[in-house]
Amino acid sequence: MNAVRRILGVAACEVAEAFRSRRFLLVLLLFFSASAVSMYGSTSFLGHLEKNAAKMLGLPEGDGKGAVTRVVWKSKPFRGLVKSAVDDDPDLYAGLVGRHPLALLYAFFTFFAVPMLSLLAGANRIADDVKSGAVRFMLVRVRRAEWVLGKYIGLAALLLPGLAGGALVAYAMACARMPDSGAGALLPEMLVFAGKAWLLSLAWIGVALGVSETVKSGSRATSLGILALMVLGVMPWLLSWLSGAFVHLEILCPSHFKGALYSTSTPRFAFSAVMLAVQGLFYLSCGYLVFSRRDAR
Amino acid sequence: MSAAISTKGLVKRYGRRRALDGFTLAVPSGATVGLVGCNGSGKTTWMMSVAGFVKPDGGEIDILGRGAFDAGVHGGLLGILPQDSELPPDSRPGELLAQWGMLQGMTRVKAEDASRRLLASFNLADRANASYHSLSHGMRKRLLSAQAFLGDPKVVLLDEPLGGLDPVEADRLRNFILARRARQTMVISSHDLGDIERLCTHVAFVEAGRVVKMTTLRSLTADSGRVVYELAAEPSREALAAPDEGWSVSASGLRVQVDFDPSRHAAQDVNAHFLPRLLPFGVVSVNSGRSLEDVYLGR
Repeated sequence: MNAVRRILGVAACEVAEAFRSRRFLLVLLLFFSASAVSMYGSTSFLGHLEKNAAKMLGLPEGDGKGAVTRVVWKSKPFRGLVKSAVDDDPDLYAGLVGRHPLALLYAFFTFFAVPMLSLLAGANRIADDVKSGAVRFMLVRVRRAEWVLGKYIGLAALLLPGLAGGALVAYAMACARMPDSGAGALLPEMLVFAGKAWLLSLAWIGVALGVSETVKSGSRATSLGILALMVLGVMPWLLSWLSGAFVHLEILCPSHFKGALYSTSTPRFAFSAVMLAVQGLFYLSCGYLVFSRRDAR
Repeated sequence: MSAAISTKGLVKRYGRRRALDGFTLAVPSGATVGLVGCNGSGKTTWMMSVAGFVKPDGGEIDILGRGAFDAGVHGGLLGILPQDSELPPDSRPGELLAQWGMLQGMTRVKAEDASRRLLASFNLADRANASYHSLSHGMRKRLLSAQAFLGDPKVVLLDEPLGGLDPVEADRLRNFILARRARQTMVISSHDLGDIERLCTHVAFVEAGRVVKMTTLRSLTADSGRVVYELAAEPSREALAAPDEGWSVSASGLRVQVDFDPSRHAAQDVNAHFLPRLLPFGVVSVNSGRSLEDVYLGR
């Protein structure tokens, strides 16, 4: 039996186990709820803006259901505002204004939530197996590297439908709350953003499992993962104060490639997607340096 | 007889403590070796090292002539029941065994079939779809024992396999192991010396991280200088008369015990003399009269 089959076998076990695990289902449920709440908040926010805009422009006051939003979104002043906000980056500008505002707001939410989702779903996966001893039943059948890589692939495979599910929940909320905003055409855009969020999750799954490889308790791994999230979150800001070679350390931060996920430029997007996957494997490998040397006892 | 497992000078340190301190053991192919030693003597650490779970600090390991454990090479050839290991609480026995079988290279059909057969052998067929956390301690132990035999591995390591099992299930597992003795090389660690005596062909005494003696059980108990006959009827005085060889004969009811100097005589000499004389009284059993426990405890 070759290594690829064993890795895919581990991934299949991971998927099956996650569907039976209450923790994973709970994390997924939380994410779906957060998606619904975020969309509820987004629609409320837009509705509020609509009412104010209508009042200022002396238009008949709408009912906050999205018609004005569509007009405002396409207006020149608004687009000028976006253009200056993205430093005249044409690809990014096109990526932002070419989208439905609700899809964009969903993207902001899901890109923000993906690191935590990945950590909560993945940080315990290896540490708990080591603690319970379950790891031994696998390591007598597959190599350590195969097991870890299989876990990574399995978790990635789990998050894709999870993120798509979150998009569907948010879409349903958008349709219910703002039927006039063109929400009917929103679904493909939201699903595309869910896919992009999945690419972002590839890096964070690597962080989560990398941390999980180094400790022997799921809760400690989750805590350390959240710490890693905070460190990687403030790292770009800290690095902006530095100069020279340190600046290049930004390449280690998943957020460094997040902006390109909004872009319409295919090469830029593809490069970021590859780099996010590379980051994931990098963090997984860092953890593996510890895991490959430690005792599974 | 070639060695299925060979470890030479294995060392494992935990801080200052040496769990393995030059552990040298060659497990003959087809043998069932019992590891006997007190708590912390290194039996479990040795098994974990052989299975690749623990990284030794020194020494050599060879399994089936293919070097130290590598799942890519030895996967499916070595099975282990590790001590103190649990499975994910929501996992299901039938599904797990089938998944593991596929990881060992079996097709899905073969893996599912092997899973069903093993669960039946361990009296868990009706629990195939139950969640792990709903199983009793004994059932969990049986499931974990079953997985060690999945795919008929050439080498099986069992760490305290009978601990926590009720008498009926313990007997079932003993018979399962005995039925496989000729087919598989097994190493069993147990504090129950009676079980080691019943199940094993060889015994290795482990102390302070090293093997201090390894021998066959037969020679260990045969060299005891004692033969005991259990009879169906009380023997006559004439039948108990011993030749002038310095043998000491004592009878108590239906039990006759002959002590001799093993450096001068063999048990066969004693049997050649006494068996024809005792046969009319119905010889129920003949044994060395010395158990592994007697040997271990120096009685």
